[in-house]
Amino acid sequence: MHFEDGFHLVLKRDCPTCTLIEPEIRKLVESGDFGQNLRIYIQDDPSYLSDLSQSVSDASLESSYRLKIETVPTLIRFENGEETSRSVGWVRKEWSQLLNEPMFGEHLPESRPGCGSLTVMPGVKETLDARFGDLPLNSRTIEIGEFDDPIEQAFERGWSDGLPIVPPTGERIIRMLSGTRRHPQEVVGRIPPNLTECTVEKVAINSVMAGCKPEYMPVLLAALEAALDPIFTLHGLLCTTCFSGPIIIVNGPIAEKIGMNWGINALGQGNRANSTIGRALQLIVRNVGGGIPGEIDRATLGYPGKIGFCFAEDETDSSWQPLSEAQGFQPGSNTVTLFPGDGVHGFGDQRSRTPEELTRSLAMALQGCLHPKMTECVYAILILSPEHYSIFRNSGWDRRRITEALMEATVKPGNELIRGAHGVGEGIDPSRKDEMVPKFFEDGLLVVRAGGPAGLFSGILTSWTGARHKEECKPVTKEIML
Amino acid sequence: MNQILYDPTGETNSVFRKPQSLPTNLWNKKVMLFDIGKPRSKEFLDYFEENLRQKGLVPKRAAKPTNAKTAAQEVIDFMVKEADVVIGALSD
Repeated sequence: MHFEDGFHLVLKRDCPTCTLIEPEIRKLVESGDFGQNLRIYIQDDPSYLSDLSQSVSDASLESSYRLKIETVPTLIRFENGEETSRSVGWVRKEWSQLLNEPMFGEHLPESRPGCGSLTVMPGVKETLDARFGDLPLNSRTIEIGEFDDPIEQAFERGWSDGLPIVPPTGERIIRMLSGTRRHPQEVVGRIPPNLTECTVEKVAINSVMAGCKPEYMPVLLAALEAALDPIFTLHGLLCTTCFSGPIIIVNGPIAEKIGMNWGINALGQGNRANSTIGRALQLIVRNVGGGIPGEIDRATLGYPGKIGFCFAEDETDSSWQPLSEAQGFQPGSNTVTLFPGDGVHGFGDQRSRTPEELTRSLAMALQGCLHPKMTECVYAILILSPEHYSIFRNSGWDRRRITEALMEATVKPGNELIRGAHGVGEGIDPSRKDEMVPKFFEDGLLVVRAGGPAGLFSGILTSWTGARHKEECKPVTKEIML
Repeated sequence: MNQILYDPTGETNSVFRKPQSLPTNLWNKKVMLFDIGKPRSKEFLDYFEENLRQKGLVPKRAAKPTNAKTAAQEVIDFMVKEADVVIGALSD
């Protein structure tokens, strides 16, 4: 867009300062030759000053955007194709000098602040960036017809996990990128199975599609980095015949800041951050990495959490050490923990009233992870509900004691676990029949707190069997960089 | 006015996502037996190799240490160079 030499004035009717100077503008225009050098852009009401030939509607805000208007009124002078001066708001001295009209506005106050330009209204800037700006986006664009449904187009192109996606338009991607300070073209890592480079921009595109808000970006970026840590073994997780997918647990103040749910129905539906952060991670795996069910994703059954599984830990009880601290991070750190698992396997115990009883009861349920006779082949997360935790807390049991007691309670005689025992073919090697065999590796059981205040129900998440090689696959915790 | 969407994929679809059609037979084909690192893969592939040899084929072998991770690039390059057909052992 080219701006002619002369004066360019941007106004809106809904601005008291603009209406204050309106009579002076009219006098100036009607005074003779000056009007030929003036162009007036009206942002809001196209009928405003429409009787003046110098006036044009800027309802699209393209002229205002290209003139970089942040306040109305703004008066700009162009000479030899370049902007040479600008006055923002009403400052009588500046206007009279700029217009070279010493008496201009002599009856008006010396100054008045202007009003915000429509170009800087919330959400508008990103739209205008997308329409008229040079977007800092490198992804290839896909043009679809005016009457095409972009949601259906996304399905046809294979971008969806089976649910409708939010169409990834330029303005939405720009808005999503505002949630991180990282450069759009920074490479976060290579996504298996295709080992394709994933930039922050690709993360933002898939976040848009998942339904994320910009403030979720730091959490998602940390989750992706955790998932790409070689010890998390994302490739194996996504191609396994097991049920599993990446489960994200968020710790720290950011959970509350972005509105995550750790309370009632923490693992269920109804919370945008919980529902969309995990979905975005899985869409990245699908779209950027090529991890598509039926192709490289060979899950026998899968489970609904593969759409996306993310929740926050309840850190409101000061007697409880959060998972982030247990994983070695400072108190108050914002972290994500990636767990390669499935579930939730429900655990209900309404009768146990002592920590010893409850430990024995929980151990029965934990023994069932993957298979009651399989040992040291999966990790597990026990999600303790507030009511179950209170039984431990009221007896002075902390995270460490609970974990140690559960580890001890899940040790069983080998002769009950070996292949063929209890008439079941599955089991551990018969050579271990005389050993006392632990269910989990030394660090194989994690405990977190979540859930609503009422209900003696806790949950168990079980990892995929790739974790049987504990030097190859582990849960990973990363700090969230804001 | 047409709508513009931005591609969420790795933009490698046309390069990587179209597998070749399966051959109707293995005659005169260079066959690679690929051990992906699952337990007992070798046992299965040994059996398969013996069967192929009885039919006059001389398969080559490639392997990666664990099914949980992608193959090293040199292993992939070797198979691309040396094989028309790759048979992987996906079993315990």
